[in-house]
Amino acid sequence: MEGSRLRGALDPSGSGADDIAAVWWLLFFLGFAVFVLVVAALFVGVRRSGRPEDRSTSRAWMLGGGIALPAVVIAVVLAVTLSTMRSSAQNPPDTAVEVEVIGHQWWWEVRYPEHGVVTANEIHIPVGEPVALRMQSADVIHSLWVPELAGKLDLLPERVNTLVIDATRPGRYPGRCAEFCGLQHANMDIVVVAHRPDDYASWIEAQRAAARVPVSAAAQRGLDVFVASDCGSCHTIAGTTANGTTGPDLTHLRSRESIAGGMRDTTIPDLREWITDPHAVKPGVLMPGPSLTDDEIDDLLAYLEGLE
Amino acid sequence: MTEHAPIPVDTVEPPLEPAVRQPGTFRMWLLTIGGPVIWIVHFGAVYLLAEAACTAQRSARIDFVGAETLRVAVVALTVIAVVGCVALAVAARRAARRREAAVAVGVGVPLSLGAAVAVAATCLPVLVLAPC
Amino acid sequence: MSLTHQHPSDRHGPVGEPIVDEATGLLTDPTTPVSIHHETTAELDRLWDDKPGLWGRLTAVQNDAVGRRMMLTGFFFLLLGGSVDSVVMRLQLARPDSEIIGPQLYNELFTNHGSVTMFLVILPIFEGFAILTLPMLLGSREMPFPRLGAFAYWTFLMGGLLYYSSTLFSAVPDVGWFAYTPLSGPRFSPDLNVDFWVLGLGVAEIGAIAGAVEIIIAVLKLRAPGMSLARLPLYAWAMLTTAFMILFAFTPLIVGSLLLELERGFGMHFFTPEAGGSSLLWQHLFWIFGHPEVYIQFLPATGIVSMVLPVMVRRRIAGYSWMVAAMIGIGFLSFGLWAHHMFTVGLPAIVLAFFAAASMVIAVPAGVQFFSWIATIWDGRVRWSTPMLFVFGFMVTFVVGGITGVMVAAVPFDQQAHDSYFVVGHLHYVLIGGVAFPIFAGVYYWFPKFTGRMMSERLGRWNFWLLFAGVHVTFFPMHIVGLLGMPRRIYTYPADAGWAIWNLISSLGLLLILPGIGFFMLNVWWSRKHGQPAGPNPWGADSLEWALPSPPPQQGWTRLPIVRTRHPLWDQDDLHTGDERHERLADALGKWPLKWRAVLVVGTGNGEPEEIFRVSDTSIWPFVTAVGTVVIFASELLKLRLGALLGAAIVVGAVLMWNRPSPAPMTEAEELEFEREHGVPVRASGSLVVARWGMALAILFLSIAFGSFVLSYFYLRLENPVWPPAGVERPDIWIGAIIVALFAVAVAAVQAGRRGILADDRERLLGGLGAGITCGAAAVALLVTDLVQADFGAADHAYGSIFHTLGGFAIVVTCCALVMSAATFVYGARGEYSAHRFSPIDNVARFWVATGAIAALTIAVLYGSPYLTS
Repeated sequence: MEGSRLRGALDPSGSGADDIAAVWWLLFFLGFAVFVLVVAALFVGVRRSGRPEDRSTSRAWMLGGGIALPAVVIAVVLAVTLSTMRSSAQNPPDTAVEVEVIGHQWWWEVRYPEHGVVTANEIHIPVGEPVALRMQSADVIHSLWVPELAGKLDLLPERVNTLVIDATRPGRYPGRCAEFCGLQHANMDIVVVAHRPDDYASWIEAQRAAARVPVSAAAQRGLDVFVASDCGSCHTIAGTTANGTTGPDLTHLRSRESIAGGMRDTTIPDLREWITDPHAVKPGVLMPGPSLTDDEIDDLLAYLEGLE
Repeated sequence: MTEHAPIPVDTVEPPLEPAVRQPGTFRMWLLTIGGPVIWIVHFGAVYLLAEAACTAQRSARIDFVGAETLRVAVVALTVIAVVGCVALAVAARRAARRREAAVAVGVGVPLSLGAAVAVAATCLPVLVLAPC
Repeated sequence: MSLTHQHPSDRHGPVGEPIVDEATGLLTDPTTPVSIHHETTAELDRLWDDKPGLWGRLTAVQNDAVGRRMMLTGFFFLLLGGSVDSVVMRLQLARPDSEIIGPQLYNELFTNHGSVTMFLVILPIFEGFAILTLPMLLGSREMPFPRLGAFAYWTFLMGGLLYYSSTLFSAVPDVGWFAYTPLSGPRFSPDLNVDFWVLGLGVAEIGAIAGAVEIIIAVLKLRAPGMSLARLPLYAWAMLTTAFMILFAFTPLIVGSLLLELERGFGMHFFTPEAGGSSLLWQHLFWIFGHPEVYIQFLPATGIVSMVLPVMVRRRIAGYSWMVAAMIGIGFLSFGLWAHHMFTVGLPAIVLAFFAAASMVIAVPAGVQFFSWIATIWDGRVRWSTPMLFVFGFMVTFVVGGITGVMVAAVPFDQQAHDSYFVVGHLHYVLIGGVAFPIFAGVYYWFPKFTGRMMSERLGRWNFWLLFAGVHVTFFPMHIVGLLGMPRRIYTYPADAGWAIWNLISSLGLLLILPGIGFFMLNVWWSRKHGQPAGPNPWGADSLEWALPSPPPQQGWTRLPIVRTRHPLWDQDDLHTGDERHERLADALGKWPLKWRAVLVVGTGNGEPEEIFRVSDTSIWPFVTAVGTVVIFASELLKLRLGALLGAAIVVGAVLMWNRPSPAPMTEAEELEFEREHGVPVRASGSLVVARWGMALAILFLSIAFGSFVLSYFYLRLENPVWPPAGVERPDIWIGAIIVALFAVAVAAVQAGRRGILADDRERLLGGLGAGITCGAAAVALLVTDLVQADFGAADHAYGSIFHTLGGFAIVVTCCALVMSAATFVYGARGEYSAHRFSPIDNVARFWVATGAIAALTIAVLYGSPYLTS
């Protein structure tokens, strides 16, 4: 995964985060100047000893420090705030890529209605293009926060909120849920992957395909286990009878980076650990622990391994 | 500095001037906190207007207050409120000159003027941003 | 310490220089005017004292007892919850992927940490401190409603215990101190956890409001003769503003909590989107409380600083009026900021901008306060005692919190900072730097007044420097880690996120904070017995309480002080001379015929004597009322609906007993005689002025609650394009008209009754009250019938829920009016009232006017508005 580079709001790779970082640095230097000024005044004040006749300074302090200083500072801050809000308030252009993001306890459903693609816990976008995220929650309030790309916006159960993001350079940008949403709020990660346009197109193409048909006997048995254990009532695998929507779509499970809201990779050992006892990995997760024999799990993994 | 060294206390503050007149309770409070009251009423009105207009537009898809109407209404409310605050500040200043008790605390003038500025600042966004 | 009766001409040079008494080593001030200790002290002590024993403890109403208990209970809850929680949380977060505690416990801990500190610690400490000190500071003997104060304490204690009892049932609240719906709703939190949160804290919130009513009236009406508003100590101004804010902020929260509990317990829909509710409605109701709450905690702290700092630099506060204006300004502005906690929920940009502007404007009054203190320091010379150290620590720390506060008011930046550790850092700078440090300063400053002994300076220095360093080490890195993308309320984080080192530093900061607090506790414990004896005024302070002996006697002022200046102990030679009328009154209070719990009421603005009345004495009924309140809430918790009815019966009965007339120690003739002699009315049977204020504030409380319900109604109406929902008939407007007409008759009848008793005509009083009760009861019956017969239920959809709730509110208010009228009817028939003693009738008449207005507006909203807005 990542190196030790400090990532976050001050290392922007999207125009939303860029604007905010500019606002931040202004706020920081203004704030630092005010801090130095006030503390200096305080220190000089405590070192000096007033005489009874010093009375004229009070009014100057009150007007200068108490009113003029904050008034100037907030005038600047308000002006910058409003102008930034104004420039970011534009509606997304018609050409924007449309992506639906649906928050669940504790994972993200990501849909591309134009392409019929459904995935989870990662949003793939073409670099340099505005992407309109139409966001809503399926249960409680969540908040999508990818600090390197944009500020955060909540996912409410009662309405769709739209967040427009873009990435100025290819890469993967980690994000997470920022609104406390219950037991496993800490483990609700998401990643935004910005591709070059060609890569993006081929990613879409790969995701549109139906799930791979099992090729080995073990994998075929695994599909049977999947169906028999009723996994399909929560999960969808395109091309099979599994069409549940409560849990993540598994059609291209192995093309993804992680499962369980970012807690585990999609490697076979991780998947085994997860399927054997999801509650040991992520206490409180809504997926019931399937009671499968070791053989059944082997078969199931053989099947899931093929879902790329 | 030693702990118990004598420290001068200022003794030059002029005594509070005795009040000459006693304003009625309502007048006293009006001249003291009338400005902030105007601010909060104005803020509530402007906020509710914007919230109602935008919510109606979003949930019912109706423009019961159009964008321009909203802007004009907010500006009009703001002008009324600012005038009210300034008038109160002037009245409080006069009352203080006439040495009316309580008002002479000198609270009314800065509060009313401050309220006028706050009213104007609160309304500023409507000139810059698109409603809803 | 002897009495000092210097003539003004005896005085040379500055007053109030602290001088060490060679013999005793006391830090004393020979010229401080001290209150005369009459030979009557012992007798007054007995008159004002609470009774001994367990029964005495349960019936205690004295402001000393109530205030001290509130503060100690607040500190107790802090130790029990706030502090242990934070240690465990910091341990868990010290390393990435830590497994010391799991998610459930972590969520419970941060919920508890926030809830306890916001509801059960800072607020009761400040309210308790105000109840304890205001009478001394203002030159009065008591708070206006001692029994209400006792009730405030009991509800606060019992609410806190009810909240904490969740531990015993393994149902600790776990949805955050903000309890956002729908996570806190019945679907996602089906267990009792959230009920403990809503109901336990609900009881405590009632106590907070009761305390606020006490404080408002104490500051406005119960002061020494001559203490005009212009001479009010700044701490009193701060508490006055704060108490009004409590009234305006906690009421919407109580309404919101009620709606949440109705949704959880009765299946109603206010916050459920599927049935027409809105999850954002809760956020509005919560933050209308939640943001002012920050300033409710901050303003009393600035009040303390404004008292301590001038004394420590031996200089009057620079710009007294500016300071008062700033505090009032902050009080108002704080109600226009709530949505800045909602910058990321998707509100319209224009709305965000309004709130951003208001959030920034508040920097101006805060700046005025700050520079007023700086100017005072410039003009004076600092005495580096421990209280001053904490004031200094406050200023340096709080300025950082203030600056980051302006930062998060900038909407775009907040969209990054919101719900990240940046905000955690910001709010702890504000609440520890801005609130906890001033509390420490206040404890060191006033400790000698209440114990008679100074706290140790040496331990105080250790206390301060460890705490000061620890706070910065702990909380500063949080800003950084927040900008690096760490969200709040996560129980663990991965090692590769780059947050580990900052979290480790934060956790290590505790190694400084904990011993710092240890030194404080050691200091309190040690100094109580072994501190340097203090004398009445060890700091050479200017405000009235330092004229009393340390510790002060029960009744506080044996002889009331007379105030002629803003800094009486600096500028007055004594506290016993002044206006001749004031002198005679001060003399008379404490002598026959006023040898009872007599308290002086002064004019709000001018501080001129207005009335002398008898404050209520010890009583068990506040305790019983609090018990009844808890029975209601606990029954709701356990879903025992009959228990709630029992609780309501206990409350009604206890309140009636609490307020029943008691024999007056003076006859009407004696009262009138005294009034002729002194020009000030005496009301040994109960105050007219204070009771009017109490009723006015009760009506204000109901009006705010009503306003919150109405705004909720229209918020839900806006969220629903079809209103009433399809298939539901609009209510019958004619029934509404009849109900309003009945209310109008009832109000008019009671008014006629009031005019009757003013003319000393008891028949007219009883007739008016009787007619009022009849019409009011008929109106309630009609409204109840119409609600029951409606073709929709309260649990069907948001429309049905808010319809029944708002209608129910009008019914409850009317029932209160009916009970009050019935009680006064009975007392009236017994001959308790006359043209001279009519205060309860006055109040019932006022309450009926409010009831009529609320009922009429309710009908207009419920029955009329669907015709206008469809």
